Amino acid sequence: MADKKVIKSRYFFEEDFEEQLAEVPAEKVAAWDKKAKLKIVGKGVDRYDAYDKVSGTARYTFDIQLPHMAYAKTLRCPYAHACIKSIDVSQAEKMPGVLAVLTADNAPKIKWYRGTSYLFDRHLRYAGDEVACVAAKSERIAAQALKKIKVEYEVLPFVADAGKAMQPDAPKLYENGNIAGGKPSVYERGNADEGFNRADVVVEETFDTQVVVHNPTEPHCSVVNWDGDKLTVWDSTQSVFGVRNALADSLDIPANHVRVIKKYMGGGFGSKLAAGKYTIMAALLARTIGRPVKISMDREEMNLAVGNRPDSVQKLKFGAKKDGTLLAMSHYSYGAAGAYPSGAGCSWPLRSIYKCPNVRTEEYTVFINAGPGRPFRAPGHVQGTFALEAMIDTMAEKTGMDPLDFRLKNYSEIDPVSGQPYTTKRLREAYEAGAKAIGWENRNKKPGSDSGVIKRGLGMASQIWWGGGGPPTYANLKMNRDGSVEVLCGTQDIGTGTYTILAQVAAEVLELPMDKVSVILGDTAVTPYAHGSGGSVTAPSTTPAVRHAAELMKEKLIGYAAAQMNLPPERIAYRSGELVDRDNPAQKMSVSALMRKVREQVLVTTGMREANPEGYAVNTFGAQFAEVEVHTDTGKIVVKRIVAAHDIGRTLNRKLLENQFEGGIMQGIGFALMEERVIDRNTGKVLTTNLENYKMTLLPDMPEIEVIIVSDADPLLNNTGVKGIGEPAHIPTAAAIANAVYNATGVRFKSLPLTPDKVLQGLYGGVKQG
Amino acid sequence: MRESISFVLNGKITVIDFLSETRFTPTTTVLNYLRSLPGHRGVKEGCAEGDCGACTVVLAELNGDGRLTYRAVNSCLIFLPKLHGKALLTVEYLKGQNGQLHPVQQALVETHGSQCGFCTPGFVMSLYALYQEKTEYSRENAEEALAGNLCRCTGYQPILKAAEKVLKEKPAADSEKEQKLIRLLKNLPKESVAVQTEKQYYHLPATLDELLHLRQTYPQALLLNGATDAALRVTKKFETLPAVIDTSAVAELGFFTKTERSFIIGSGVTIQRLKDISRDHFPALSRMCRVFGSRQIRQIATLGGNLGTASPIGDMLPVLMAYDGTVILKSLNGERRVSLDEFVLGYRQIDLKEEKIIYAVELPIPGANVHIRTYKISKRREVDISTVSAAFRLELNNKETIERIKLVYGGMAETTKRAYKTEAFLQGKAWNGETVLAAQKILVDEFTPISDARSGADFRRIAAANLLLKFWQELSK
Repeated sequence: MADKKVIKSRYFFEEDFEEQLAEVPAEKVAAWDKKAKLKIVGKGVDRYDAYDKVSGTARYTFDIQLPHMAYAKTLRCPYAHACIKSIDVSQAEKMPGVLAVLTADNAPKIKWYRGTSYLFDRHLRYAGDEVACVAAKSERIAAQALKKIKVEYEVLPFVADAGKAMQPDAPKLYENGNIAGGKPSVYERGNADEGFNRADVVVEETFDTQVVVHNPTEPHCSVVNWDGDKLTVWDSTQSVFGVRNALADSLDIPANHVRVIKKYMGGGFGSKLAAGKYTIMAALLARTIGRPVKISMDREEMNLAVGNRPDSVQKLKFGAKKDGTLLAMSHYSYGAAGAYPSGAGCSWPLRSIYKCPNVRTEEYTVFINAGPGRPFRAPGHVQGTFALEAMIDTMAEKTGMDPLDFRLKNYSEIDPVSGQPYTTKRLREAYEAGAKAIGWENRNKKPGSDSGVIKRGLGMASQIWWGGGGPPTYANLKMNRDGSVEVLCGTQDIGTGTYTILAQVAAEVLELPMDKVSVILGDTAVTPYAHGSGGSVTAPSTTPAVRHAAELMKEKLIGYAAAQMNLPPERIAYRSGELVDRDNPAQKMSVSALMRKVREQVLVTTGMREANPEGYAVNTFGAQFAEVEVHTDTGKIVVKRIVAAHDIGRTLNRKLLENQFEGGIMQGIGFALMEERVIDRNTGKVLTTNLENYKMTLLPDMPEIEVIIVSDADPLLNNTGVKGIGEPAHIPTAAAIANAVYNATGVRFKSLPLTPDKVLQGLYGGVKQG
Repeated sequence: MRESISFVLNGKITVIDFLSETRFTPTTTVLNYLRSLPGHRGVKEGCAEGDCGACTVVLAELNGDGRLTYRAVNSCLIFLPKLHGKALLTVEYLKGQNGQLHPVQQALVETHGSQCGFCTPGFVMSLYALYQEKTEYSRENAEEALAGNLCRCTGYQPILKAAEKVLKEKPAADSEKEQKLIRLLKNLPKESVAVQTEKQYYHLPATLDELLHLRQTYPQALLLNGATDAALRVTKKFETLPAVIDTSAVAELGFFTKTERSFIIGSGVTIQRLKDISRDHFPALSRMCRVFGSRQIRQIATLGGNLGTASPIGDMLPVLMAYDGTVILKSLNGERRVSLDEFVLGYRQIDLKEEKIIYAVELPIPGANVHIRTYKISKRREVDISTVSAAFRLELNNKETIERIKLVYGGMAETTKRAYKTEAFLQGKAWNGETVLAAQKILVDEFTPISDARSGADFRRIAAANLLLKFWQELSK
């Protein structure tokens, strides 16, 4: 079992397939059987970090305070597009308490945004771009000093709308124009035009979705501390290794001089997957002033400068036979990356979920003068699924079919993109279970036929995502002399429960109580490599590595016991935390008794995520069903119920799982009904810079939620049979709600969010008919 | 007169002397104060403007009958002097001697009530206040108390379960801890506070007479009770407030009297209390109070403070106008009464003239023939600034014709406005669907609202007209 090999690993992460070399076990640990009776895995055990969090003792990066710590604040460009002509920091520097000021004049030229810009660039491409950073004795002094910095700007024409930015006469953000890569990303299979020609029913519709902002509750923040030429950084990040590498590259120092630590963090949802400028600025300031520096974004900066989900305009054309067989689909879309590189494509669900021989997609990612996008909980899929599933419903109606029957008619048993079989696909079961739970037969057979001022409707939407993870991911397991165990892994628990599931897996294998296991994550100096926490890859990548490490530890303990008991290792069995002589079960010793003989040694094993199976597509699937009420007098939509039925492999912890779904659905309701970044088209400035104007779902907005898991395990994929759930939970919610609104009103709303404005406009068509 | 404030912080008497203290000023928020102390970092800052509840703490006070009342509030929206004479409780106060968790914390553990956990201490404190107040569990009560706590991870379901669990169980409160708190509170000084530093004058009078004198002496001073608006000037705009008179300790403003004909409600009454006071005789007002901000804000914000800001989208003014409210203004020279219909002069401008303070509001109890309803349209169910709000008053005579009608709107113009044209049209007409449809046509064009981040102008006009229809439909039921 200890043998290993190096492979080229390839799996999907957030926006693309990633390929890297990875060390994997030569021989896979046999996967837990689908029906295996596990004692701890699968149970809703308490969260490992629950005590710290409810007692207020959990320390976040935001809470770290070091002796003599200074505070940094950032001056941001007030214009949507400008060049810096000059900066005068002399008045700011003179203020008592100000320690250092960093600008394009004195900062090293550090490339940023994939080489398209610099840490401090004189060309500022959005209202919020970084102009200067001040370190002072207090945050208040730093903020006041920002007002004393005099900047002379040359204000440039701006464009804050992706459609306009694609026009040839639009103001340009880059010399090569505003279309990222200069051309669209095109995907084709079969011949779409030919398919449309043969179709009995052809429908063409345009949809649009808004920009939404992650807004995790803990702001992006870092605390940096130099000890000689060694740098320690606490960062609220989803990727400690990513941040370490960015720091080492930016500061041109060896990677082993940088240690990045993340213990608890207040959410990320993708916005903390990459290193932020602020961390580098703080490190530069700290080096200059010889003191630790804390930098944290305020809520306005959170809404301007640390990422968002790009908007989309999507033109879809579908063709089907009279019997409902999809013949062709085309998808043309554009979306705003913001001012710097980021992906705005959203056609993956359309390409991959239904059986359709002729597909063409053309996606434009467009630069505009606004804050840059970042992956946000299933990038592309949430907006893509909204348009796709609305079209599917429309096609069902046009062919006289039940929306669910139409989906089953076009069900794909294999991955239509690669032609490969799936490790598992239980979407059919999800449809059935979800439809039963919501009472699908109670929907309005004729959309909008519900009478009364308050109209009720049911809708559904399908979900596809990757979420299988893969190597490289490593975990160390340490066994101490008292039989207590430490699991070390370079992943991060961003709130999802990674600490808990890794402890569960180690405790399961070693047959120990949970309180014997401690888990250390997110520290580049002590934890072995794991991927950034995103893409729903964490559980399916890390739990098999921990299981592998624990199985190796069992083997190791057997070796130690054999030596201690003077028996050949084959004679020793590991049973319920005891090492037992197979031939004479009375002769046995407990792990802790054995470990006392081992004295001060700490036994260590390294587990690895095994290779993914070759020749298979790995995906998660699901369907969500929504029941809504539409108030036709005020335009208010109330979501009454959501049923989420999903295929996500093995359940590790039922309570964590339900909670992931409830949270994903909550964010889906926000996306469907209220969240929206609004830019003033006259100034290019964001108007929704606080949580009063940027509205997120609160408790009273929440419906009743039922979570149904239709999968048992995916043993082909990995040894724990686990897939990810963070993104699957969120993808179909908004689409299901929009379809339910259609079912309630008979009016197809093609623009998110479905605010009271749009509902009234849609229902009454304009003021005069009111 | 003192230059220091005294309060109980998590069971310890704490004195802040602003003259010797260099870290804090009287306009330091309680949030910034707590986060600068060692050992109080459980209180979190999520937005620092009252929109997220991560900084929720509990204020405990002795009420008239010697018992404690517990109020969950946003610590980012109150200045330190507000603590004077009270107990400030944070999440650190809840643990038992051996670190054992309080029942509300234990319930959150069992239901998995946190994911990332950054919002959790805020939820813990909101739940703690409910628990200490022995609130009955209902979904409505939980929503009412927790709508001001934003969670971006859990979807609230496990938190709701925790609320249900802990409020239904109702184990005995920790009376020893309570008794100690009561003893400490009894010993706190209550007299007024005045702090004069180089940059700032802050006065916390204890009596109405003192307040009126101060107002006379410092006419330019900012008058505040909570600091739901003023705190943001300090923490977001980095202003120094040069002169402040804090009315929150003036007990005489927190009064409420009921006569046969009317209620007189002191300007220092919080919106939360107003909600309860108005429940029976002014149900539409009570409902509007219910959806005013979050509970943490309702427990700081006051009737007088809300009227004083004269916000065009404020929710209280339309409904108080519908109830024919009169505002009572006071100065050392006496009293003046102004109808609320005439009180607001322009965008954030009110008729205060030489009278210096808003003393109270008088609301006549409406007769049986009077129908008053309020409406609020916003994207989110709660804790949302209105896009459009409306309060309607209809008086019918025995022939079902309109004796008198008042249509008051917020969010349609730079101030709260009555739809006078439509009102005139409706006057004397029969109250039926036909009349209402005709009135809607006038109403749609009566206002010229703006488009902003909250909504479009067209929507506001449709919504304004639809609300009248809704009013009619509701009354016809």
